[in-house]
Amino acid sequence: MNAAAIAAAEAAFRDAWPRARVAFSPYTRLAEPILCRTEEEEKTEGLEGSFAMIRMRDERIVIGLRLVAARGLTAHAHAILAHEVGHYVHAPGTLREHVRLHDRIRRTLAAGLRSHAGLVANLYTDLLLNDRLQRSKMADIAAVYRALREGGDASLLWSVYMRAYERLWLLPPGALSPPLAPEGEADADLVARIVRHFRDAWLDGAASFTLLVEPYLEALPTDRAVVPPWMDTAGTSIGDGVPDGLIEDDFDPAETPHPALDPRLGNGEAPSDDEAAGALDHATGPHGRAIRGDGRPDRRKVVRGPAEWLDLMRAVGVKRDASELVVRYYRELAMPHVLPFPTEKLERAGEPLPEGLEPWEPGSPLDRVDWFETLGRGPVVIPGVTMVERMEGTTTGGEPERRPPDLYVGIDCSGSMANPAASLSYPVVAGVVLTLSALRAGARVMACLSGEWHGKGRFTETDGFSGSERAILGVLTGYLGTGASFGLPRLAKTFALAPKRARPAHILVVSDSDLFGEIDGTKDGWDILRRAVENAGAGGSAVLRLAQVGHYAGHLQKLRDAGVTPYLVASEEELVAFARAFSRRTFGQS
Amino acid sequence: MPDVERLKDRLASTPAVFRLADGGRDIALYAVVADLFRDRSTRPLEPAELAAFGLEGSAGARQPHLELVAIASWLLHDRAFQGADASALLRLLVNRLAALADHVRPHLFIEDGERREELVRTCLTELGLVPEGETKEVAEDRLASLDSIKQSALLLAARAREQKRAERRAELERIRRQEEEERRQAARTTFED
Repeated sequence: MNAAAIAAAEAAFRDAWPRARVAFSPYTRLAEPILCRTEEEEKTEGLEGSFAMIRMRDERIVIGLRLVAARGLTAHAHAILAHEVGHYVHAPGTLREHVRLHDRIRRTLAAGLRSHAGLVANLYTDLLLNDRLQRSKMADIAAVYRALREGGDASLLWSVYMRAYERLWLLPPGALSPPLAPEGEADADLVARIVRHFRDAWLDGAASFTLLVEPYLEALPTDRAVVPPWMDTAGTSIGDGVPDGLIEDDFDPAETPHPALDPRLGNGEAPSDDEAAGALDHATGPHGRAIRGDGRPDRRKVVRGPAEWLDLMRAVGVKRDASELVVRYYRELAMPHVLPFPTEKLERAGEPLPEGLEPWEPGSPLDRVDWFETLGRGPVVIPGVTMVERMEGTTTGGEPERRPPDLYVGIDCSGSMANPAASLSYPVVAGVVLTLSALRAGARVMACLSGEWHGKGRFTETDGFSGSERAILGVLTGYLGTGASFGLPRLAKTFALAPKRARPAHILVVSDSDLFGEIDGTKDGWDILRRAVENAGAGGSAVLRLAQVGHYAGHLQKLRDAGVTPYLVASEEELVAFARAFSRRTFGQS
Repeated sequence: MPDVERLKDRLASTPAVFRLADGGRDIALYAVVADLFRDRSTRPLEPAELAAFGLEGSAGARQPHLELVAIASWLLHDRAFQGADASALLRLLVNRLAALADHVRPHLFIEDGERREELVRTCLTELGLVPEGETKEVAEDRLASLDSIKQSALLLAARAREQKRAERRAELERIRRQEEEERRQAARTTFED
């Protein structure tokens, strides 16, 4: 492709940008598109097999000028850019909606076709925003597709897809696609109906669209391009940013009828919500989740399991380490329960007194950074190296200071506990709730997972008490699966055999009846526990799941005698409620 | 030449009395139709022809058809239809609108933009009129892409196809479950032996 044509394309796209940016809304704020002149530049920006894309991870539009010039699309710069802006403004709009869309499509598709989820999502969102652009005359998208047709017809899927546009925009048959068999005509009509019906709630139509195009995916050609080179979201990774709000799952593929059987897509009047639900139940049959007492399907949201959530993240191209993602999962699950950690009032009081600088470590609150001193050390800010925070002592003052105790969270991670990366683990959720609450209140936390039995087995713990959320949650979301109980040697080493702590800490252990066996079977076990609680300085709690409480009355009394308050839960789910209540407890509040 | 957009606007502002389903039941439809033929057509209707729209005659006709005739009467009273051939107009009201009402709820011809255009173009085509700025071929193409009757036929075919596909899937699932159960039984027998 000659340089003049590429230069002309570049000029056209630069000129078109200001008007295209506001095609959907005058308030759209979006960075200028990245215009790639060479193949190397396209590779650097991640543009492959398409002349345009919107990069979901940083919301940058990327245009490949070589392909634009080669396909004669220079004159359509406005329409192409307005389309890309549409992905940012309308569909999918946000990273979260992009992932939700991908999830719905992937779960609707048969297992062998799930690799096409990106293609289907791209086609569907294109339909929605192209229809909006064309109908409102903001951009002539049909002209772009006419120009793309010069490259030859792609696949039956594409022909049906183009015929749907002809129907939506009342174009004469053949304007964008070759003639179709009656089956193709019927499917194109259904695609148009899906767009019309789900225009304002587009995510709800994704599964219908997927069911409709599924047979065409099975018949995609392998000897030529499936669609013209304008797949602008299909191959883009969402990067490292994981959007919130994906833990809850409000979609059941079994509840979506095929569009041909969907009463909402007929020629009748729109039914009321109840009628629609009834008609949908009739169309989908007795599938889906549990049936409620009144015979209707249970449509309440459920929590997505960690394995399913991890699969979803992988499917949308998140490249973060699995352990980091598991932490992210439990953190989001815990956040609604996190409250300010209880603080105890000390009689000492004081006013802050500057006492010099110390390196600021990642994990420490950002508002503690002394930016003036940090930037004074050099123009490049490197966490842990050039970033510093000011240390402050106290002078005597009049107001009482509130200081929370540090927290030791010990979790039984023996063979009877579930792997938190594979299935939802409530002890881990509870641990994360407590940890985040403690850190929020300014306390430090030490986390320990232990799967031991009388000195044998494995454990993992943080390097002492720490303020690093990442390190603590990293330990809590790990998995051992060894031994039978939380190991008493952990408390012996950290507290009983160590000097009494200057700053008091509260010991909290989550386990079951095997904890009694562990203490009973250790020489001077109950004495070690008592000394550990004494040296910790702020009491102890044991959250236990016991099958027969009466049977363990003696052991529970021994715990109390050692300074440990037992809390009994009937199920693992109750652990979260306990963690929430513990954070709200009144000790230290006044 | 008639302007499609203007006629669509007229349809969108159909007075309530022409909406039989929404409280316009008190009007005498046969009188409205008689007025239409008197004002816009080449001849008035005979009493026998009017019976199809009267109370006695309506016993055999379906209510949705009569609702659509009322809506179309408002549209056809527009001056664009002045001099409409009486036979063609009668065919339109009796046959074509009956077929349309079988497939689409009448109120959608007021409320839905595409259905409005379909009714306008249907009326124009049936009366041999070509919209402003279009050729006869273009007008026929546009109407074909809006044709509810054709679309309904396609939808029915798609429905039948999908139902067959669903039955096939269910049958495959039944066979898979049966084979799985047989395997389980065989394993249990081996274990018990």
